[in-house]
Amino acid sequence: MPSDFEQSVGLAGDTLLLEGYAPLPRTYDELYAADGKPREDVAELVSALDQLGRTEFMTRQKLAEGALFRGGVTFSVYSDSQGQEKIFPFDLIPRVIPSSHWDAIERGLKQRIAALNAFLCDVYGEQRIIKEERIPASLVHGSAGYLKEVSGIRPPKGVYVHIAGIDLIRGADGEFLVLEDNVRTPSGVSYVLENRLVMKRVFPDVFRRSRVRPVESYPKRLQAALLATSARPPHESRIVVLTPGPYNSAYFEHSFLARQMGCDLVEGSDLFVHEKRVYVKTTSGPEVVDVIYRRIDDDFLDPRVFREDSALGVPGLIEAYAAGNVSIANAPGNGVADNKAIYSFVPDMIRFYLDEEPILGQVETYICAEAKARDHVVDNLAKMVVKAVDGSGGYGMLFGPRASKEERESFRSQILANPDGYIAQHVVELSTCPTWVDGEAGPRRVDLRPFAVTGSDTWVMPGGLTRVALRAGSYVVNSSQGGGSKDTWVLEASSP
Amino acid sequence: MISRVAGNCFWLNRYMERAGSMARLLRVNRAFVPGVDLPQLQRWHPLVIVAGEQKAYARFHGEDENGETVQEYLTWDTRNTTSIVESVRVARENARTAREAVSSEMWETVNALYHWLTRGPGRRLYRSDRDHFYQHIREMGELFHGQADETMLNGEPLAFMRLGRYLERAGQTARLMDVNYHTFPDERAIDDPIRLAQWTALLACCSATEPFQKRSFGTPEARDVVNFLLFEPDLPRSVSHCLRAARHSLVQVRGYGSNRIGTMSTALLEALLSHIALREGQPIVGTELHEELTYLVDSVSDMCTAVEQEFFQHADLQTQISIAEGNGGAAQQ
Repeated sequence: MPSDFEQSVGLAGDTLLLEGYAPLPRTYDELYAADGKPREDVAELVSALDQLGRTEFMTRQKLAEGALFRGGVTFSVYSDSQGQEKIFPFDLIPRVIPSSHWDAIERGLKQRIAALNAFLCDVYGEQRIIKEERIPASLVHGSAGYLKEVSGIRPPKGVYVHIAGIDLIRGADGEFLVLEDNVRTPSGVSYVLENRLVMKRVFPDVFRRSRVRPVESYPKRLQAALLATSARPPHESRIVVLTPGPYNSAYFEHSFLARQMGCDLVEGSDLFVHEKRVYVKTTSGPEVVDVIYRRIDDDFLDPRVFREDSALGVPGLIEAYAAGNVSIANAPGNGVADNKAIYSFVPDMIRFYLDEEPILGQVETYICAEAKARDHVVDNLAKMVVKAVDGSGGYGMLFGPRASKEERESFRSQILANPDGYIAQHVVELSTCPTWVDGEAGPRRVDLRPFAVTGSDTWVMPGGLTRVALRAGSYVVNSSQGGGSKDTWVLEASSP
Repeated sequence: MISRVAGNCFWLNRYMERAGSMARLLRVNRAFVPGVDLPQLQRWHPLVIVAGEQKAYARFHGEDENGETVQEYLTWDTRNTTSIVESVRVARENARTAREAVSSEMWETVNALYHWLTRGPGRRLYRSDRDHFYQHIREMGELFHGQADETMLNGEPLAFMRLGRYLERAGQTARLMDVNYHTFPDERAIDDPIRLAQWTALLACCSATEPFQKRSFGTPEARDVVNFLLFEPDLPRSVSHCLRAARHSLVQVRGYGSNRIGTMSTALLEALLSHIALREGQPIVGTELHEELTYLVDSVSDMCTAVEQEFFQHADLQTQISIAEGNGGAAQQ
């Protein structure tokens, strides 16, 4: 679509896109200030969107959905061959982050990833942080993600967290806070790249004028980071993406990343281990594999070491890994760093390992394993968000203010029966962003999952997956539970 | 390339070829049937035989040989693994599974065809303008194969795709001829109008009507048509051309890797090609033709099984390991 197409479309009596938009009280809005006017640093962009008008906007929303559907940018809803495929609901109104805000996020993420990496290196090595009593041993060893089987194994180049998708939220004061660490197999980056492609096609002019920082180099950065951990020189190294298979709901992403990196997408049965080397079965015989970007969980990686019934993994893989013959990204055992109780110690880790003050704030967390905190939590369930320490994807969670009395009672007994299994946080008023639902733009809550890759150093993609709760008032942004996505526009710094 | 993915490429193109041929066949038969006075059983039943579905069809529909029932079964029935909708679904699953090996253009064509068939528009056109419906499927098939040649790197995945396409096509032409062999009883010139119509339809099913007109003069004889469909090197759907094209792809595939993989497939294909070379130019008619065609159909099928075992399944881990040990030194240098 040529860009003057956009300019030639007049409003012609149509309603402004964002007319009548009112941000929620006591909530930070990404595009609008509390006085109901667009924020100064994004005002020009908001006005450009506004001028499109509603009819035109809806036409383009259709175009976008058509493009995503034709391209097969879908996730499967049921896990069988007849299963339905849906596109991940995508809202065309972008979430915009001015460059001044982004710099701190980028530095903060790099710092946090460095600390998490040092932590993993330590808990699977000397355990200094436990010996010096900064983190209780019971918390580490009791975590479902802690794998004693990989203790003492040092991954190639010491990298544990090759890919991080640390979730950020924004409280009422607009400050970015870390909500969750995801250093196992964070997903969603394919949607970021596909959404961006669509945005450039349907909003060429607004996009160009806004000077949005590009995200397209992600696959190359990922490839470089993975190659940096290979034992052989990059041009001789073979990377594979390991998927559970085409019926997995994130298969599109696995296939997308393999395609973008120009490497093979394999299933466990395509690989085998012989004399501590990993091979892939090819039409011309077996070939050595150097780096595995795995998108299957730790438990399934190697039936000889973890779950015996796993048909998804590769027998002998951990032995090959321990011998230093293959790099696995992310490293097995990272789950301990995603543990929601360990999360509350990350600021201490940053001080302990890096001797720095944390750049990014995070949400105050009550660890139910501690008696005093537990009492506070069970007495104030209506004001709290309760999470299972090893849960993810929005499951195993109680959202106090919205929960029924029965649900709260059920969580109270679960917490009392298994206090080590839970943490709680006060509700954060997640920030909102104008979102097109049912023919008008309304405020909907969002979070942000920026992606960072680490090989010889850490690179943070400028942007990330903005997830949005499409139901009015909802705080749950997970795609499995009625969430959608938005493109995230990080703006270039204005020219000096 | 990954063995499993090579299998996806092979089957993707086989199934797209199959869907396209079935659409062509159904369309030709729709034009053919009203023009000739044939017994009921010779109108639509031959298509069920070409599809290899006699038993299953009889189970579901008994002796109902009504054209609508047969068309519905060969086009839409998901219980029929060779129906158009099933072929396209399986093709799409193969493409979706191996998207990193398939060009985006090809993927979008298969994806669009599948959604067109299953989400309403195809069904509507089937009801309102059936010729156009089959033509659309045939055209999407042609687009797909054209895209394979135009948008894929000329490498191993494409070679497996072509191998699948040509083996499927060779088998298809032989099966089509076999179903019609009884219309080639002797060497007399074709003067009976019904037989002429049958021959014309057979040529049309192989997209060979115009090519045949360009190469034949005077009143065609049975042997001309048989020779043309079996041996004409320039006809894209002749058995001989398809097998030669398959050989080209097989040689290409084997050139990428170890000589130890593909020996059986190569031996079978070479045997088949020498067999054809010996028969070339000799008149084959009547039951002899039936035996010849049965041999061809079975040999192509054996060949596909060998390709499947040698290239895609690699069931024999021991062979893998011994090759790995053979390559071990090279890998460490």
